[in-house]
Amino acid sequence: MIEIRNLRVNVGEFKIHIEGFKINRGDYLIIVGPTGAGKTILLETIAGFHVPQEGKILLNGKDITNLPPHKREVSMVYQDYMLFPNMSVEENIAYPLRVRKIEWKKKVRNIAKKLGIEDILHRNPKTLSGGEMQRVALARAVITSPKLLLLDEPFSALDPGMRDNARRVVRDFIKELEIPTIHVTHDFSDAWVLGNKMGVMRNGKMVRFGVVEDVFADPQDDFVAKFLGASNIIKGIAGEMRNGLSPVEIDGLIVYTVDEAQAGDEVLLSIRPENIVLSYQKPTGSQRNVLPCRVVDINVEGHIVWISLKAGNIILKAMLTPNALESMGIEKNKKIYVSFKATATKIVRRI
Amino acid sequence: MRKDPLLFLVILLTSSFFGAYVFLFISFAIFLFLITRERKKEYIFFILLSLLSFIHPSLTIVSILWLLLVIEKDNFYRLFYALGAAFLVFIIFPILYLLLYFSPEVIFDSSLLNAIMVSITAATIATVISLIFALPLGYLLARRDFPGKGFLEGIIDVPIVIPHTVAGIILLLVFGSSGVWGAPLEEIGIRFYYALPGIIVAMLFVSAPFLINQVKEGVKKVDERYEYTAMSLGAGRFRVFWEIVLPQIKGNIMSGAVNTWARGISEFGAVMMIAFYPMIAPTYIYYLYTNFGLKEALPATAFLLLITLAIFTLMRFVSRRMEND
Repeated sequence: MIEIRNLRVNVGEFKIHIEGFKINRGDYLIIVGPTGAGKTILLETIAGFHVPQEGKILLNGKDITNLPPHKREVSMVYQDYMLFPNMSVEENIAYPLRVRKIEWKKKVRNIAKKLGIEDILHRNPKTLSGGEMQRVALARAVITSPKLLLLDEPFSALDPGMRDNARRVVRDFIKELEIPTIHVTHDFSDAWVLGNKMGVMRNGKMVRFGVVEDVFADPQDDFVAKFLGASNIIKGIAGEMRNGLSPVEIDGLIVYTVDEAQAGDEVLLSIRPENIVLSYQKPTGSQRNVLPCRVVDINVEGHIVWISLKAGNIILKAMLTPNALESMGIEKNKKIYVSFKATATKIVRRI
Repeated sequence: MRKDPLLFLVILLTSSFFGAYVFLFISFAIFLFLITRERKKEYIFFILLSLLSFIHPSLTIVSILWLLLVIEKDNFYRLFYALGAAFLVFIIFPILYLLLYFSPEVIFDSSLLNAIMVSITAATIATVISLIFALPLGYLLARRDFPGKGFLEGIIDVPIVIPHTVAGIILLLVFGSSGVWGAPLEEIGIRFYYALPGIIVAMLFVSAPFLINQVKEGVKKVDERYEYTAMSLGAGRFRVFWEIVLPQIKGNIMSGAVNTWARGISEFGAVMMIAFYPMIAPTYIYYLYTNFGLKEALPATAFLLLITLAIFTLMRFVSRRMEND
């Protein structure tokens, strides 16, 4: 269990102030936020690399605020993994055990087997692929079963195509070990796929904290909504796939996507605002989702107009130019059709 | 192998100062090298032009320039090659010329051998002491930011920029028999004036900055997050420095140590002022020259040059190997 109480940290020009949060054994906390929000500083402070000006960090009830990093049993994995270049893969994974003078040969072999990296143990870390590096870093971080695992953007150095697989590795592996984990990212799908708790950071503050579903469903803070809402993100239940289309039921409305999903799965749909088309006539065409909506809000931000639309209980955001807004004569409370292609509707699955 | 004219130019120019026969021999060797790779009549013209050196030594320049014009077609590079080669010859020729005066009997000059041993011993001790201070200082300057850091970094370079006789006077003032530090230390038996510790202190003063700066540059290149990661994995600060940082900067340490050692062994001004005796090799050469004249000093000088070059080449070789690891 890790608990943060009224933490203030100044590092150079960065300042963070976290009022407090708590996570328990088996919890996987995802902290999202834009670059510069102070996410990494928070992790580094929990790991003990920065001394807080104020506040407390409690690990399993013990105050570790002033404990040096190497005595905390809090493992940190950075986004570029920081595999020691002067050691082989095997020596890297064995490092935490050798530091503690624990017999390591067998343990390294076991963990390498679990992660499918037993064939690369003799290699130099510089020769590894991103996915291999990530697994080595993970093995090294958990081989001593630390009390807390900290992951700093663990997937951002990977190709987008490899992230799903990497997420699966992390989830299966860490869930099994039951090590409480704090994972910072700017990718909301990490939260949906891996997390059970979620925090949102902005300007050094935790502006939202809670169960993942709650934060997604009700962002509360305008900023949280905006940060998550670079896309429209809607929760629904997947249905049976037919003719290459999966129906997703959202509060009685059906939206189709070409992405695959298991029937009955709870999924998140993401629809980018720029892919949403507005029209007064009901559009026709295959593979297109059409929803009758009501305009609930219009926000002009420079050269972009954000339109909030309500379909059933869903709020969707669309993007227009000021010219289009004027020529279409869009006003609050007008009825309008929203349409978007099934190919522009992405599923974020819980794996 | 791409035929780059720089090496040819340097060899030809240098050989031209050793007389027409040497020049012609070298020219012919280069001619053979070129003609076996590429049959061009310009090369034959080059070897014919080199015969002009028999008329007057200065005419060697004609064939050298001809070769440059044949190999390099770009005027920009022609000029840069010519100037670059001229400077290299300015270093290489005097060194080679001195070596002509080497004679084997100096090997039996026990004063010279003694002086060389003192030099090597003092430079080695000075390098080891430098290392003890350079590691923490270089690390701090690379990792920490604080007001006045720029000023302190400037201070470290001061011994490099001040005239070495000035450095000698400063050290004499402080470490001399009646110096602020020298006097009390002499009471407990550590004497600097006219003694080995004086030589070491002088070498340390002028050469340690090279090692400090190298360590600083090395540590800067090691991502601090390696240290953070290692600490989070259970290693204490000292252990992280020893096992994670040092192995990653061993190339810098080695090349810094080579520079420090070389700077120490070549120091004369500061050492001479605090400790003329026991003589280090440069002091002995100076002594030979001032007491017996240039001619008498030449064989010993040539021998010292050979020894220094040999050690320096070996050290560079080792440090390169370590950097490439």
